[in-house]
Amino acid sequence: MTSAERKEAISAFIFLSPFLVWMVFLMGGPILAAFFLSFCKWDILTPIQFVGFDNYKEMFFQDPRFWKSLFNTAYFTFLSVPIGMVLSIAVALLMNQKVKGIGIYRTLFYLPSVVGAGVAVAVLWKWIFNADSGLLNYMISLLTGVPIADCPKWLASEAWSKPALVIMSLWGVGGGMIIYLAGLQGIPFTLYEAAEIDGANRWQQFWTVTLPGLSPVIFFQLIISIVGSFQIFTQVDVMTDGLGGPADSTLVMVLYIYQKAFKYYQMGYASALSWVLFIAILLATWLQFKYSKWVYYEGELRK
Amino acid sequence: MKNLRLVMVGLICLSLPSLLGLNGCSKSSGTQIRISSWGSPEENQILSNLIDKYNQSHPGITVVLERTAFEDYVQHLLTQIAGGEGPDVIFVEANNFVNFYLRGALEPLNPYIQADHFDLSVYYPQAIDRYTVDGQTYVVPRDIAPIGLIFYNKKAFDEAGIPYPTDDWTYEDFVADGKKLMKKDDKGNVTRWGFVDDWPNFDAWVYDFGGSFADDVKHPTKWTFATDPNTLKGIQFRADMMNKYKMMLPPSGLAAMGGMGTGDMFTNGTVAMFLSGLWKTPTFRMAKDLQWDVVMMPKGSDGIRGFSSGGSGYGILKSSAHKKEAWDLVKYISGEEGAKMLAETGLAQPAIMSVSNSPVFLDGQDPKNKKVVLEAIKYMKYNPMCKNWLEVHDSIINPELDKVWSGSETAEEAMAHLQPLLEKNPPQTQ
Repeated sequence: MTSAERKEAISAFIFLSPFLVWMVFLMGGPILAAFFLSFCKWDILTPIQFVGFDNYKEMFFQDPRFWKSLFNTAYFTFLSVPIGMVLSIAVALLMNQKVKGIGIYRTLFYLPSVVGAGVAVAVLWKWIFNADSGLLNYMISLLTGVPIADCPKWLASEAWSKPALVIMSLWGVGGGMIIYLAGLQGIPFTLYEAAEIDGANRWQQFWTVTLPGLSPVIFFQLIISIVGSFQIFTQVDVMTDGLGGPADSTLVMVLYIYQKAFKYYQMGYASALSWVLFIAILLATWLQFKYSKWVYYEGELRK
Repeated sequence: MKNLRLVMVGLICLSLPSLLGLNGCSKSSGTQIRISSWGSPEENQILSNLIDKYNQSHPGITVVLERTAFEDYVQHLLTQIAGGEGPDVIFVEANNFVNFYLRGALEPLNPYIQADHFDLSVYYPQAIDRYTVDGQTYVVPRDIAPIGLIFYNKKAFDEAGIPYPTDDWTYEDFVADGKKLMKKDDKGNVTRWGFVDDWPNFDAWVYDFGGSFADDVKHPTKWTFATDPNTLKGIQFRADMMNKYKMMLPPSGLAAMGGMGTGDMFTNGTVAMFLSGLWKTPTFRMAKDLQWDVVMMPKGSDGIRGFSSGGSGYGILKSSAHKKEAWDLVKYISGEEGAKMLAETGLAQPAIMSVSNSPVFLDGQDPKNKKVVLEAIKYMKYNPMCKNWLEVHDSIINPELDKVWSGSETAEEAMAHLQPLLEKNPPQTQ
């Protein structure tokens, strides 16, 4: 290791240290405890009983709700992440124009993310999705002329409840926008000049300069959003009164874990579910890193 | 600077005991009794007034009231008990009681009752029965709550030109009224629904039609939900109210205005009839311009009826180190004085019969027909006592029934799908 490398490693660890302290002292114990518990049966009060792989066996071979929750989570992730990303990038491109009052527009688009994705927002969306008197069906009816009675029943319908969740997740587009905006402004202007001299049009510039320049940000966002959507919980919990209905159509993994642990007091089974969720996220993240050749790091070329 | 830091550290040390909630101990050298409760501030005021009185008349004993939100109550207590930090006395709801009883957390009360010649016969036998298993009583009841009341909006009935319902009405009368109470604007949008329940309460219709969930309430061995023909009738009836008679607010109409509950829809006249229990009284009394009363849920032409049930009472935890003192407290707070205070709020029907039959409870205020709850007691049905009741109810039965409410399945088809699932998940009593 050269001294420059050593210096870099030391500063990296200094920057990482708050997280490491938090991880080791606050999260490490519970994570290990959950791993141990996943091989046990425990209802909080009666003594812990070791059951080997029973929880995992039940999960994979006997529990249709586990598969349902996994499917629902995957459905949500595979729809909400790409749509969310395309929209965030599109908005970021628009917000990157040099127009008067652009600051106001940026603020407006970012505002929903300031409000966050908590309980209040979920209650708001519950109203928007109301089939009879909600804002969404009112707008659809107004624009298309379809009577409200024939519009989708959204949260009350097995077929439309998951698309409703996806639509709701787009509320957070502004958060992605800010990050892409920063990424866009980090692309050196000289590259665009060079492209222009080479005769590239705007479209070609977007594909050959903007997207590669933005790729590290896209990669970061992809990982973060997939992890985030695997963990969707609060909104579903609030909008379905904790049931994941109708007919389990919005039963996502974390909601299922929550039900098992804190409603039905099956701590062992819930721990096993948590570990499976953890492995699933780990796998998804590992795959993304493995197939990350498309990401272009400008700094690396300079070296 | 250094001095300042010392002062800060000193301050923190001084405030630590109060931060940790230890000031209760330090005040008195006597015995501390902790009691856990949930409930609205008004409801809690009753208990805390009782406790203040008790504390004054019992030197050497300090009773401390600990409040938790109802949603977290069971989890909070189970965690406390598991950590050896459980309170001495718990306020417990009739369904949640099972969670504690089946895990062996509750102290059997018979020895105390016998030693003190404590008279259980002043309480409704139906309430005592809920908390008594194999002859052993675990909880002294505070109130009893048959969930079999139809609240109705008098103005809506007047407008529809139909007479107010009476307690002997049948399912057919109920549907006929419900249809007439529907109101639409000129675009065909519903402006008033005939009926809705407080929460998606299909249990009420299962019991009202004489149906069942399991073969035995105290010692269930198998689920009868999907095989009991009366259960099927009750479920199909609730679905028909939405899809066939179109008089009941369907699930898609819930939370009509930004998280508004169905109770608010009754208050503002968007719903003419509302199924719930007596605890709605204070809320509806406060609603301006609402003229309302209650009747019992309708019965079958064969006279069959049954009401799902709630209620609550006080129990002692096995882990308590001061059981004698705890029992003395339970006797006091479940006594007549507390029952009267409860009756005055209109919030609940006291478990002590003489109080519920007295003018303190039957106070002549709305609902004028309040006396029906005295009769409704007869029809109370309790949910089966098993550890997996809530899971089977909420996570197996409920999702399947969602398809019945939406009309994509008949009750019969749902039962056929449910039977194998219920067989795979028998009632767990151990």
